[in-house]
Amino acid sequence: MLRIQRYTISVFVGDESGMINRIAGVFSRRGYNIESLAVGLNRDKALFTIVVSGTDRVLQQVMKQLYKLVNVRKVEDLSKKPRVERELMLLKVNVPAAQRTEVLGLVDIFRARVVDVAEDSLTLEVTGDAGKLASLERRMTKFGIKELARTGKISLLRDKSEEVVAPPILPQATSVSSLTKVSDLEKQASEKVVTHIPVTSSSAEGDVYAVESDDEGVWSHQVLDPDWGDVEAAEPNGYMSHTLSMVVNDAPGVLNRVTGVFARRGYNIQSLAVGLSERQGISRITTVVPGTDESIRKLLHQLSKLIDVVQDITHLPFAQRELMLIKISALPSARRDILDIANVFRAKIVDLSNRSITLELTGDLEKMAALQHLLEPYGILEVARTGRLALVRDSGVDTKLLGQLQPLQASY
Amino acid sequence: MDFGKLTAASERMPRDLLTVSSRRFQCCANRPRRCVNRRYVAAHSQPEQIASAGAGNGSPALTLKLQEQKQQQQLVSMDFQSRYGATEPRKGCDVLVEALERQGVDVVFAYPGGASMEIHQALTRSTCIRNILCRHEQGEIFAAEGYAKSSGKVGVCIATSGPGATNLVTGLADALLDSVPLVAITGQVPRRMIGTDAFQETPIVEVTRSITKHNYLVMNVEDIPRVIKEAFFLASSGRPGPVLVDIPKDIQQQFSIPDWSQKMKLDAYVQRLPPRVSEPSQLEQVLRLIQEAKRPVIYCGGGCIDSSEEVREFVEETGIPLASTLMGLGVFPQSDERCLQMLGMHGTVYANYAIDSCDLLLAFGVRFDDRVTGKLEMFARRASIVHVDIDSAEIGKNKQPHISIWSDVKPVLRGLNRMLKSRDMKLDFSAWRDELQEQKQKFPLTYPCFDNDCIVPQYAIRTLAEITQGNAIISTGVGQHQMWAAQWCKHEEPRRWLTSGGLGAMGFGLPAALGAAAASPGIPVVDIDGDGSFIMNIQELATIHVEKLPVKIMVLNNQHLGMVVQWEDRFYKANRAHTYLGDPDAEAEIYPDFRKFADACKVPSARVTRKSDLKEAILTMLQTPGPYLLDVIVPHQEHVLPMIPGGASFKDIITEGDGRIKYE
Repeated sequence: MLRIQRYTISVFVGDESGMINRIAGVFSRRGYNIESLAVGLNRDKALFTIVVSGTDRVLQQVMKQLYKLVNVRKVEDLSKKPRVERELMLLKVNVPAAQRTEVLGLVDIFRARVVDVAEDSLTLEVTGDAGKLASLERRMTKFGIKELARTGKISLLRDKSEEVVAPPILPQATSVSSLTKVSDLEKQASEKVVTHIPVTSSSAEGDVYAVESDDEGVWSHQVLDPDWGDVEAAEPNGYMSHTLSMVVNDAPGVLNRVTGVFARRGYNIQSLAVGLSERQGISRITTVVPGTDESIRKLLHQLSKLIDVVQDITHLPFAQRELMLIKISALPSARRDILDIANVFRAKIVDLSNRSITLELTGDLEKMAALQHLLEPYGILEVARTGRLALVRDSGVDTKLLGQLQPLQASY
Repeated sequence: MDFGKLTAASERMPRDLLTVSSRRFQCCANRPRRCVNRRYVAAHSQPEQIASAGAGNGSPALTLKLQEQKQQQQLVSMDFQSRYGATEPRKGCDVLVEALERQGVDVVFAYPGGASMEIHQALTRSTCIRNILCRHEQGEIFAAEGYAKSSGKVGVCIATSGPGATNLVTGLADALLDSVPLVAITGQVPRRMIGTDAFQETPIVEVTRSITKHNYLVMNVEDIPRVIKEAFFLASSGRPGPVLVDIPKDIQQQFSIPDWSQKMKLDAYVQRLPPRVSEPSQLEQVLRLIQEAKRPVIYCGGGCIDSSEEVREFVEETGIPLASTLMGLGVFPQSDERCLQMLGMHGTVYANYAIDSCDLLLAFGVRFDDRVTGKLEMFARRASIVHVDIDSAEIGKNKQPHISIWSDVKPVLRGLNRMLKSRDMKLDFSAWRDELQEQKQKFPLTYPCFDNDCIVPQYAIRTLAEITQGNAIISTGVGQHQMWAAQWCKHEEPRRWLTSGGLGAMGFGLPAALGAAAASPGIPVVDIDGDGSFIMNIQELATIHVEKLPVKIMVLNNQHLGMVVQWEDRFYKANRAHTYLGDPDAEAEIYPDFRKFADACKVPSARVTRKSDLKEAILTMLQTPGPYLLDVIVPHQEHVLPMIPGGASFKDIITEGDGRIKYE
């Protein structure tokens, strides 16, 4: 009973500002160190995959305590069940031109992908379970690892293939199917505005707090929204997603402190990935937060009071990747169609039963959303996402930035 | 789903109605207020929610109850008359106050400030909510706890942002540990200023996240009706606890038309409430264990506070002796010979003997707290354990039970009682009870008697208890006097014992007593306090005078932090480390003079130093109308006994000694 083991817990929660902080608090106040945490958002809900080590008894207690949180909908210990586990790693390696072929050979063996090439470095993307990532990391050490970011594990249960063929729609399905209802949501939102009464307070003069009525700050953008990235830089008030990369000491409560900085000020974290970094005892947190340049700059000042390194890489060219495991209800008759779609997106099949298919997909935000949209009609059973990882591109080239620069050059 | 509690509440309704209306006349007597005749409901729940949760069970009796509940609810909502037209816009603070009215709130404890003054403005527009203005936010939240503990209703307190909110922190932690239903509302700086370190800004939702059952930051005025409904439901359902609602000032000022029909969004929580009907097979197992047991004992805690009748019936049916925790005092009458009084660190020898040598431990509504168990492995080491608790996280947390039943205690005991009645179990534990009776004779609770005329603190409490006969509501601070009050007061009824158990927060006594006095005007309320605890919230003397709350205060004044002194005597060679509270330059006189404090607040008071005057003084205190302070001077050498030092077990129990002896 006293054996210390590593456990994977998945927690399914409802929308609330500061939810990550609330969950992290359950661990930190008991002194447990979260080894990795992956948060994937889907409309108003989020799926946390947490890896924590402890004894069996400790784990039972933690799960019960998590259950006591009002907005938690489901807690599951996946450690002893048949499951698909994947983690995403971005790796920047020192590679002088002479050694490039050797490295590319290794890349092939590990089925990794190169996402960026510079004069003397390569940035690789690789997915797999912890063992695979560890062995690739070891192979690459001799070349010199410059930077490393990991998402933390995500897991989905494997389907038992013997089971009867009727595809039940699990409660989670709703979390995804809402994607199609975007127009409905917008309609609702616009109706809400109509009922809103635009009368401001009569006692605004001589009030204890004088508030200028220009805008409402971060609070007007409330709901957790996985598709925030779609409107990057398009908002007239300068709102856009900012990608922050932090390096923190691996100690209990760190995550709680970091997320507290956001939650306290009403920022909603869109994406969060916590995982080990290139050095022992140091973790890298990659997070995406919506805000204006100005507000994020202030936030960085607050964060740098807490932790070692924090960097807003939004305006630098960077490579970003996210990992998604998606389980689709698929009777054998529909299997072919789904496999076709998967092929186009270069998604890998990681589990197959006679009523479902589980796919693994890496890519940026838009790619994830597009695949989800296409698979929607077949019935999405479960989705686990890691949250985005990002490393600065040494090559100094970013397609998105190029796209923005194009019209400028044309005007010359 | 906690149906036991809901039905109990509806059964209680007529009586509640009476007390509420009579109280209302009282509190309105001295001020011209229009009173709306409106019903009060203790159970705050939505019929839809219950229906969906209960659908799986499908028992006809249950559906019937649901229907009753539904009718009850409709009755209430029909009865409620809003001051505003259905489509009339009003400020967020008025929406909040109406939301409280709709929850049946009649008393709030609120202290105003910059960020909450809108709420106070709205409170003056309410016709049926009385505000009691405590003189400190810690006082107000303890008062709300006293109100909730003594009445079973949800206590409500309101504070401003920043320091007002942080002053609530101790009370929230206390309410969480003692499972007190509480809704705390705090003002917050306007939304736009949050995170800017504005004047009187604290992130109170962050601060209180781990010491509340749940908390909210309201960011939309339209959410107020739903959030308040949810807050009351969360606070009172399942294992009760504190809920904090933080409302920015601009939301309080914003105009809106509230939608009272909004549903609560607590599906996942409601699904996780314990099942209403317990498994008959499990009850069958419990009965089998009882049948096989030779030396069973009931370990009864705060979770039984609303199941007093069922516990009494269960003991009647089985004849099993009962030991109570600090929080469970009063559930079972102490005058009954099957009552073993309190167990644990300062429990009676016979209660701890019973636990140590029992072969079956029936743990009802308890959490195996370290003050009770001492060394965990040694606690009830020979016994099979049956653990019934409403919070599944408590089951198996400290001690692994053999049968665990995740449920409110009430339905389980009802089921057991029904089964016991329907069959003849031929239970006979008289030999076991005789054995315990023998222990009772051998090691009764005692206190020393001296030839001189000084007042021993235990004697003072005993005298008070003999006069009040268990009819008074007793509140305490924390320390020696608290333990003596637990030991020597006659606890006959539940909800008449208010103490800070889990957190052990000094200064609890006076505010809690005034909250109880506001909730139950017909019942005498006595705060048994220590000099250290009393001075921690002494400002509430002003409150009890101004609000005309007849709280009696009996301070056992030994000029020391008695409990710490006791530990210093035993384990630190009597080295006094800042435990003397008198004036070091004038040790002969009593310092401070509490009578002068009382005088300043227009509270009548007296001091008594001689044993021969004590009874007379206590009678005067109880017979004087309105509040009264009695300063009882006692020696500081007394120790609370028996005593099992922390982490020790029953064999280490200490029954002798005091501060006049030197310990190595």
